[in-house]
Amino acid sequence: MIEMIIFYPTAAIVILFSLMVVLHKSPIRSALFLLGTLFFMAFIFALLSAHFVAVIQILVYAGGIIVLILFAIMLLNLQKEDSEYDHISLGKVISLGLGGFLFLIISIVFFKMYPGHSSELPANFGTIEEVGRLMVTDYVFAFEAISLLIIASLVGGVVLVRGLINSKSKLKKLK
Amino acid sequence: MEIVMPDVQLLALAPEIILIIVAFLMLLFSPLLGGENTKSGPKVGGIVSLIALTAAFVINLLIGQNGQSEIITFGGMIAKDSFSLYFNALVIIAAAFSIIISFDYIDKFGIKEGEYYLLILFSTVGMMLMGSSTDLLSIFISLEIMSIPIYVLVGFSRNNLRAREASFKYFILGAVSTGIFVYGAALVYGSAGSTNLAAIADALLAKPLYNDPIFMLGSAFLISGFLFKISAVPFHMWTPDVYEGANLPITAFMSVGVKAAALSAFIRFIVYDLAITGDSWVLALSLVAVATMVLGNSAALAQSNLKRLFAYSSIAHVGYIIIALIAATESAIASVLFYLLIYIVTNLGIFAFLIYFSKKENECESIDQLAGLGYSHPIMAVCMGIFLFSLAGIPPTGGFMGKLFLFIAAVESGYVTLVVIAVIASGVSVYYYLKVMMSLFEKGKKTEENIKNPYAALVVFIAAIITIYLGVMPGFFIELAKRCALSLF
Repeated sequence: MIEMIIFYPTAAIVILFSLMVVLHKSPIRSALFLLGTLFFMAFIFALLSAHFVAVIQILVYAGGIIVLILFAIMLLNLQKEDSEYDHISLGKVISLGLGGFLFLIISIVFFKMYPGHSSELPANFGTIEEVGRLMVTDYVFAFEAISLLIIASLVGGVVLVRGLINSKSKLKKLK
Repeated sequence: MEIVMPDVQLLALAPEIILIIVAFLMLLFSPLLGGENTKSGPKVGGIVSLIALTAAFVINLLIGQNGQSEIITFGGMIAKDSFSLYFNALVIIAAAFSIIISFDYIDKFGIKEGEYYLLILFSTVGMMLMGSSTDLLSIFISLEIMSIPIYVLVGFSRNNLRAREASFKYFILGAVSTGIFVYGAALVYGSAGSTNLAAIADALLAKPLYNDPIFMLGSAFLISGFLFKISAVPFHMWTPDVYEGANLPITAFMSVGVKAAALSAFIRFIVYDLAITGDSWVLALSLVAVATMVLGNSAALAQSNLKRLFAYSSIAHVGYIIIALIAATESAIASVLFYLLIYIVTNLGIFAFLIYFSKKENECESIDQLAGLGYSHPIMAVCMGIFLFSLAGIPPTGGFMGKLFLFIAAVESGYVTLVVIAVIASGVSVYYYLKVMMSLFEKGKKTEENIKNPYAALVVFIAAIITIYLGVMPGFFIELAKRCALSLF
């Protein structure tokens, strides 16, 4: 019962905040709403007995990644472009309709047809020990492959940004 | 606490590991060789990665010769069977040829960063892992290792606005499709209790999960994620724009490598899991196949930009392949493997041809630029003719054999209507392939030019020879494809 009391408000807040991330015009405020979304997601992880993941969620995402995003937005120094978002096009209406239809299907499946599973959790579920053990045993491939993925995206990010800086300095030389 | 490591056989992953090590060494040493002021930097990287790819290819063959039919390692996340070795060989060939055709191209287009080849290597590793993945988690991670370098490679030309737009578009749409894929994986996990494809199959056999709405929804999302990567209608929107915006060698790499890799994981998912859930998904995939063939071929008719034309043509070819996926029998999967080999060789040949005729900072991408080239460069034009005939499915080229086996396999499984539509669609496709051919031999536009690009010419010749060889003597490769398909069942 207490879980329900925590879950529904948290879920509502997460949905509201993530909608605001997309809909808000100012990038900084969007980033702050994202912070809120990720912070309250940690509550849901905690409700699922994944305490370690919940703590990591707050430390890494809310603490680290959002700060990076905020820095990036401030450094880019974006100008306000209100006019782009104002008009309603046919494409937007159609995508909203299709998205709503998909949402309807998913909600019918979850609320009407899904019987729901529940089973006993093992005693050490969600502890640091257990997560660490899984990471180097059952999921060792995923663990190693993700490190490769991070290197690859790091290199990719550097390549893209370096191109940007080079072309900007070339423009300055031309001026 | 006791820690029990799963059975890890690193030797089975030796081809991937070699590529990763070489990529890391290049990452460390390329600043010494590359840069603004050195000329040889990227080229050294290209040669090193070619050597690494050759080594990976040889080791891949050795693992295949080993006699051990199947190596399952990393707790069931990775399987090295003949099927994955076949796909590994395909993507290594695709990467190697893409690197060879890049040599002259990147000089002409002023690309100096050594990371160009590095990112191709990373992406190749992702593709190879994808062919070997037997777990939704490892499929997802290798999908990302494959895609993220491709997003960057598409936008590699720093001053090309079109390339940047294409890269951004591909990135956003790719991220959404990956999100859908992960959501699907989560739903399937919730329903079947495991992310391992074999374990999901066991769960499906134990109780009829295909009536479970959660499993249906999850597998629909997974299928959508795969269909996006192989650019089937209705998830094809990005294909023409991205193929047009990217540099030609990257377009070549994407049009063959990404498709082959995504198909390898898709085939595994279909054969392991979907095939035992009855025919609940057959109607949906049939509609996708018909839409893909019809839209791909009819949109290609109107194109005058060659990159867009071949983008739509590649969409149409995915449509033919999906028919065989629906059949999902041994012979159908074997025909897909054979078809993909021909498709890869032919497409690489076509893009090598376009690179051969690209001038400095000006890609050969309009159909008018080909006018009269048949008279000034007859040999190249004949090779291009072979490729176009192969794509259209006219004997004695490989494309004919590929389509023949594909359609026979589909008819055997009783999908006659689909095959009839496919034959009509490929009849329509002859028109736009011949349009390119006509332009090559247009009278009165004789242009004498001295073009020196031995790398692209080499790839064109090799591809033309293989295409003809596969059309005349397909026996060995069909047997190979059959043996590799057999290892899935």
